[in-house]
Amino acid sequence: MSVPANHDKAAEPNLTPMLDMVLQLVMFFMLCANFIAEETNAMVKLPDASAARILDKNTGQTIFINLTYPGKDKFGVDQPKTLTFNAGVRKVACGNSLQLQTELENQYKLDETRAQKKPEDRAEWEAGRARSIVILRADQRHDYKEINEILAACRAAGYRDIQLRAIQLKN
Amino acid sequence: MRRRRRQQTPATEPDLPITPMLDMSFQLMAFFILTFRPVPTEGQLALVLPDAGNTAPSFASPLEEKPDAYVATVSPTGGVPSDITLLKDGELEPKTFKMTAGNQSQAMNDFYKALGEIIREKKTAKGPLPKLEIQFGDEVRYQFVIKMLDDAKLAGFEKISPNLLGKTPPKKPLAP
Repeated sequence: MSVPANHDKAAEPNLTPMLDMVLQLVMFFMLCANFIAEETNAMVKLPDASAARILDKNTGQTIFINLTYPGKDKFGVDQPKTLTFNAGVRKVACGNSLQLQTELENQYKLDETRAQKKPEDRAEWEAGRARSIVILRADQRHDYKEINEILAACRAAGYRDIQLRAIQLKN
Repeated sequence: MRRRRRQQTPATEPDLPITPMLDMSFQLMAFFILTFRPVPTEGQLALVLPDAGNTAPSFASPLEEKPDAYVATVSPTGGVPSDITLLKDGELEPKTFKMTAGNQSQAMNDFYKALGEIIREKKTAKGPLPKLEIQFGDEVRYQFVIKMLDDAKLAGFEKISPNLLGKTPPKKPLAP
């Protein structure tokens, strides 16, 4: 029986398709990686709600208020309660609800100045619209007393439409 | 003139080392798989805060039917759950949903059904949807606050206001 002449050539697996697939998987995990958005805070354990709706992308300026609960983080380090105000590039750590109210009042003035520039926005402003949307991200373990202080600060600053953020439950 | 004869060299195939690249890709993939945590979808519950003082004048025509207003209250103290009450504006006797340590979910279900019934009646009568103010005690957990607001939204209420129990100024009796 005759043996082919190239019988001494080493058999090599073709690794290129495997590499292609692995790179695609790497790409997938990179895109889906949990990058913490600047305006949110991963320390906040949000409550659950079935009726929670996703915010429309076309809404204007948003104000995020994060209220964390004191406790240990994932590395076991004690973390105090924090209250932060975040409106676009402005991010302020507020010591209490009074400081938060001051920040909200400043933002309200900015909203008003912006609305006065265009006549159509002015009409919207007069009708009680064209204001920033206030989104409260508060930890589910807080008592209502603390939540109410924040809501009172929003109301005192002039914001009446509030969005409470929650984890969306699937029905 | 003597022509130089070009020396023929055997053609070499470019050999790209795939194996180290594959090793690195596997390491990258392992890193991303280990750090991968799908983010739960976050949504919003839209609320309208109640007026701080006197109510603003209504621009609705006097001929238009005013929406009914309901006030619900809940105020557990020291971890002991309290009853949920639901009072329609103008009525004196509130509906009470008994809440004890064992039947919290039953009381919540009854409350949800009562809210749904109010909305259904209004829709049948083709009247304006009622407003709901929920007053919470100091010690109510935020998760429970959201649960009640969630139930009200699911029942069909659109205008919901949260408030602190006892903060609403008492209504003055009408002059005779």
